Amino acid sequence: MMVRYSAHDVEKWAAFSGDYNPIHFDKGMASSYGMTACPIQGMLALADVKNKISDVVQGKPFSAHISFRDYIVPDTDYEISWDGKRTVTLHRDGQKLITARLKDYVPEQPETGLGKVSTDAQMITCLDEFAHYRAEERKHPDALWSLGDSLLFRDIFNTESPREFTRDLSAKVGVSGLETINDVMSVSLAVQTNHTINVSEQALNISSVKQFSGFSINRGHPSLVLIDEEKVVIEFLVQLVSDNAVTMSSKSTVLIKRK
Amino acid sequence: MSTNTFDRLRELVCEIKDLDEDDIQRDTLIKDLNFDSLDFVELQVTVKKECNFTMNQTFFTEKTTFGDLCDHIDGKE
Repeated sequence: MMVRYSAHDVEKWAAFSGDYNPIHFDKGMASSYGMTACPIQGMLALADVKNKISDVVQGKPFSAHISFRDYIVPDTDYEISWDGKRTVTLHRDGQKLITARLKDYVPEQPETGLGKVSTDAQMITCLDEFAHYRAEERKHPDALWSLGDSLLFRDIFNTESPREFTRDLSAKVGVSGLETINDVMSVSLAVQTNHTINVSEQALNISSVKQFSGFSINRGHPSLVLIDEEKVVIEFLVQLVSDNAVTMSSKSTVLIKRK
Repeated sequence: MSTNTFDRLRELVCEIKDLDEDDIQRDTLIKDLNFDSLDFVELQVTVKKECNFTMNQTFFTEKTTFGDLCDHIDGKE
């Protein structure tokens, strides 16, 4: 399966998800970090990897641990392959850019560290528009559970972390006084390193975007999982919940370089 | 060395590097596992979460073995 991304794809994903990390748009910033071009958002490329996963799992609940191994650039051909065992890979010229290791599904309990919200009409409309864009670009629709994961990721970007957490984070990164995660990302390199998804049978049975109505999005408290001389690593957990049962969850790991 | 640390760390590294358990023994050199920076971050994060131990890249030399790493995490080195 061959894939390619345009600058327009990057804009559309940013408009849908809220991921306006300047590294994806500022050539000077990208170059200062040794990149040959502005990288696309990892979650944009992951949308295609997830479609391959969908083909592989064939309706069976699963968990996937995804690693974003290196940056992906626009206007370049990449290939997505399944190794026949447990890994789907997006690669080019023998280099692995995204790896997704499939594992057994693990039932979860709902988490509400940062509360929960109901999926509203605006979210569904936004998701539907993005789904249509993707279906036109790829000539086939994205898997519905994959769109659910995108919806959860969007929630991470559109939910402000507690101010105390952000102030503590910005101090640890070395840029005191910033108020939001987006502010921190604008002054220091922030890279999503991993993404873990847990997808139940219920999620796999979602057959239309409209069916995402009536769910709640549960937000775990963001956590600072690691700090050393060079970096801070934080994790965000969000879940899609129905009738107090977790339909699917996403955990995103982000590395932020310390100043 | 704690058997649990060795077993868990081996399981983790096998998962990260797509290896079989037989590929990793106590005397396996860490450099032969070909960790890149992302592999190291992933290992660091999991070790921190499970053992509350912060691995530092300065610990590793050309001669560091897998057993050395386990001992280090267990506080014996």
